[in-house]
Amino acid sequence: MWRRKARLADWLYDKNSAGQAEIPWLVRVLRGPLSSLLLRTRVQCPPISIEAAVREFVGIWTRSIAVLDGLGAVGPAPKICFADREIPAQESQPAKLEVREVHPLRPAKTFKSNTTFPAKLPVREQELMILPNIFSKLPQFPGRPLKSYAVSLLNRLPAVRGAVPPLVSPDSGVKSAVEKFSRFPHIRRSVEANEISRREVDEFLNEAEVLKGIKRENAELMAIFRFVPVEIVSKIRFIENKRTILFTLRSDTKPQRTRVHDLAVVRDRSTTLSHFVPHRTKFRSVMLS
Amino acid sequence: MASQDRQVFLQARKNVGYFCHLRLDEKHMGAILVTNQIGVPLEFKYTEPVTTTKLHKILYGSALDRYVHETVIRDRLAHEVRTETDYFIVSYLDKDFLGQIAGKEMIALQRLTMGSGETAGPFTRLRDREAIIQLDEGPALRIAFSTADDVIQHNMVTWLQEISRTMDVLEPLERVANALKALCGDEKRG
Repeated sequence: MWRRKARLADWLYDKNSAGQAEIPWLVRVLRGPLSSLLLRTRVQCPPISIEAAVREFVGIWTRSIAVLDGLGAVGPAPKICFADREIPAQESQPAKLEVREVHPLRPAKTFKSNTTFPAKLPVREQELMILPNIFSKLPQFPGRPLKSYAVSLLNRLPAVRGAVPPLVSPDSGVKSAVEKFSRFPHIRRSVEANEISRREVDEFLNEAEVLKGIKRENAELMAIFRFVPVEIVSKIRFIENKRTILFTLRSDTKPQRTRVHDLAVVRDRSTTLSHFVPHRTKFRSVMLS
Repeated sequence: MASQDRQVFLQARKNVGYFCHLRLDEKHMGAILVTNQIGVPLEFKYTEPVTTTKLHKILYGSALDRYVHETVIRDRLAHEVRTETDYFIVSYLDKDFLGQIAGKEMIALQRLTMGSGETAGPFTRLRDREAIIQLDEGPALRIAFSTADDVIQHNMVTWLQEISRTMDVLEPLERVANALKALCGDEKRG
């Protein structure tokens, strides 16, 4: 592009060419913001008429522009004001620019007095294609339907209808499983050794002797557990290495109240058997819902 | 003994609520258990496993855990609870997700193991919403409250002391977690 500009400038400064000489304004214009225009000029004398046409316009030109200089001697007022209007980009037809007024921007220059203009100046007409193909076009992607991805985890948990009793609710999501859960064993961990007093140990060894017939010298207290509802326990198991008991409750009866006892596991050294020994007096009565 | 029984009769029946959230890899499950004062289940409800995807992680970012924990699991279960209870107990690991379940406050509990000869005071405040209490008949517990209201906190501690006289307050949480694992396995198989 710069080569074209340079060539145009050379042409304009060429002394031998007909259009020549004292029109540096045009060079400035062509190097300036109007360089993107395809400018076609025709100068006649006298009278002088100036035509300007724009075929390609980059962007939107909304400001008035004065472009002429150096024509003071050949015309009344060398200023061209383009009409303020939006010229759509990519307009392939010559833009209809209206020259509304022409007046000098600076004091007009004069030619030498002995210069005589020919009756008719040769007119050179040249299309100046500086930026021929500039398109302003919004990129258009192939049209595809937009998808709305509903990210709702809640939808996966629909509401449950009806009463609680069924093991699995008809509508999945939240399930009720009271009966199934009731079969899971209760867990009790032994009271820590440092929380057991000597007196409590003696009491349980006495209970073991009375209830199970384990002689005191053979009795060994393994662990003590709190809050065991011994009246409604159906199965109970002692896990020695974890000092834990697992027990399940009877499901056939639903008493309104029961007692939770302190319970010890006492081993009989003579038989190596372990016995569950509830404390007969250390208990609490509980109202059951 | 008779007078003791009479006292018990005079006491209101107290149900104990538990909420457990279980996360296995990308699967989230939750359950609510309501027991009576000795830990016998009165109501047990659990959710189907909810699996979070990569897209969920991207869209929800760091809010995903809270959203799944509170909105998807807890609020959904809370909507289904029918049995009345005073408060809900959760694991101390869930103390960042405390709120309300069906309008009831939550307490996060953790058993404290004290050295020999050491005892915690009846109520030792750690922060606005955290304290250590010594149960009258049980171990010391670290507590996180869902509310900073002193009165409600006091009521919660009183309630805890009361139910700890007849049951191990932390044991049902373990039972619920085991049940959820078993149920999750059942769903895989079934």
